[in-house]
Amino acid sequence: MTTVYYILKLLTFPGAVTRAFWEQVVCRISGIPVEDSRYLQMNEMCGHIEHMLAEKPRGAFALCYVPRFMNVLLALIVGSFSATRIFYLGVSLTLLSMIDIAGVWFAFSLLTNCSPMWEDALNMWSLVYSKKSNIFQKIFYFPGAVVSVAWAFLDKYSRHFLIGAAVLVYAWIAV
Amino acid sequence: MNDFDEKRLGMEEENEMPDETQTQDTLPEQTEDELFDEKENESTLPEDALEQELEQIRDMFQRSLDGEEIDSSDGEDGADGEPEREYTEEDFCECCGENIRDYSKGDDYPYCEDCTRLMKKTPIGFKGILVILIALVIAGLSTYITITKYSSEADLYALEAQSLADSGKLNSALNSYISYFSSYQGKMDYVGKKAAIRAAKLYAACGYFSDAHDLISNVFTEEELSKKMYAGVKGIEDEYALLNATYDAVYSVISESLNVADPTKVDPAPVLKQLDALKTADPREKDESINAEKYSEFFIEYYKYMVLASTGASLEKQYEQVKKVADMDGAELWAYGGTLCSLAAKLGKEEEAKQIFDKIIAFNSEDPSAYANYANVYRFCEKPDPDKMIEIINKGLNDSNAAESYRLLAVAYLMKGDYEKAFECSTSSYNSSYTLQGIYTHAVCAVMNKDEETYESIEQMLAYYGYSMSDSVKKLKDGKIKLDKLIYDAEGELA
Repeated sequence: MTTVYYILKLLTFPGAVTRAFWEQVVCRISGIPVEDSRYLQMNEMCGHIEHMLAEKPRGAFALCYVPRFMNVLLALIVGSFSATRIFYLGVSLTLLSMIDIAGVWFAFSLLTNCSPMWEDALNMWSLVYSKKSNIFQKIFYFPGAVVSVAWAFLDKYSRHFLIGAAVLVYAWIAV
Repeated sequence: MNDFDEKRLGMEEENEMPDETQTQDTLPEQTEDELFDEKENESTLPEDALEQELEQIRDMFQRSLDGEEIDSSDGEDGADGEPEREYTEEDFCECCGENIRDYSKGDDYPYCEDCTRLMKKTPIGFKGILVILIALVIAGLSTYITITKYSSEADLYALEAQSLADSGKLNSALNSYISYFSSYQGKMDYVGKKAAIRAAKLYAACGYFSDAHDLISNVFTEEELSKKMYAGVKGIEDEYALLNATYDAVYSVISESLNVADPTKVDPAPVLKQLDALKTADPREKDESINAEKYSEFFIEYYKYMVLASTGASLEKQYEQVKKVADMDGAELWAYGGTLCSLAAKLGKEEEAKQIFDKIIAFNSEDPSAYANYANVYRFCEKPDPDKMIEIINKGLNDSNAAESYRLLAVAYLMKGDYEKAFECSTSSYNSSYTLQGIYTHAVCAVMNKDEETYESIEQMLAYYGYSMSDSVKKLKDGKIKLDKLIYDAEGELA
């Protein structure tokens, strides 16, 4: 399973690298110690950095949510026109459309590397929904927390890649 | 010496007391070593314990040299009175291995304070920034291609077109598609196939099958059209071929019967019967490439209406025939919609006219003829309202195919008595498109404005094409009839 996970991460390495990059930025800002800052390790940490668990709910939530938000934003910037030309206009395969294909691959890589580590998601959930946190905090963080945990679960078994591929095929056929 | 003396000497030797008169000074001198040896001999500690104590003292001196604090206690208890912990290898930091772990963060926290501080400031690698820069370069290139590669806003026309089509502005959508395909003139390989399919379907939905066919021929090859993924496009081509074949078959019947000087004198019944016979004919007998077993029934029925209209059948009959077409399966709104609305308006059927008008506008809110046809409701009603007519026509007025709209505007202004304005509108209609109604309306406006020159040029133009001026218009010019008769005659030349 780890081998499959690693191969998929290599195939979508732009997303893996940027995901780990944003994680490191968030750790730096939140003061979370980073143990190993290699982005493409050949294990289940590929696409993530090794760091200590966050101690505060805000930091834990930022660690789960900010990298996803930034990757999605970057994917929209990179892939909007390329995806429009390929999926919506249906341009033929020419030299110029190679740039669009690269853009779509980049966007796909970014979107399939949006999920946090399972441990980070669980830590975030336990901090946000601990007895110490207040009700407003729980309500405020709920949508993002649920999505983060769900995506982390999918990422754990590389299912997010299958979902992304299915979405691509559907977009090609239905649009 | 007797025995007693000997004993006395022995006892004295035994009991010999130190001479008290001897002082330290008078004691015989001893060396330091002898003193030290004496003292050593006099010590009460065992040798092992002494060695341990000496070792502790040595360690203490060593630590003081190393700058560590010396515990002044006797070594058995800590400064706070608690027993001192003995550190094992597991107590040291996992990172540096030199310092003790920071237990204030928990018993299993693996790092010391210094390493923790360094980890919080791990340098951010350049790889992430490099990937983001590459992504932005790709985004920039893609944007450039989309917007500026072939012409100004090339691909954006296609996006705009579909957005307009989805909001019911089909005329504007078609114009945007024309701009999109014009941008790729000579480079149709770069045209998006899906965009071409959408455009072709839109052309077909609006009844512009010829334009759809031209587009498909330019973008798709025969081999591509045979693929399943382009089945929709193939369907348009097949329908185009069938409509063409139906038209040819219908025309051959009609031309025989109606190609006379005065079609109104022709009996439509036999012609209609011949057209009905076409419904069971097989178009493949004349053209094997046609992908249908029968001619288009809906198209045949619509041409039956045209026969009725050409032979001067009553408006009521014409209306019934077009209504029949509208109720058929596969009826195309582009074919019967405007006609049905116009006939309903002429017959004073306001509600039916409104229903059809709403249906057409829901499909294409930019169809000017729909507004013009509906405006006739306020012309042929009990209390004609030219202002309302003008308001409705202006609502739908745009640059595309507005000849009929301008013509009816001219009629509305004639109803109001504003002949100059009427003449302006009729001139616009006349310059846009030549229809008999448009020509006669322009002639009427020329008469009302007493413009002889324009009237004569119209007569000459009609004569050139083998037509003559309408009798009603001549009578109006001669003063034999009033303008109102022409305007409010639902079956007249200005209807």
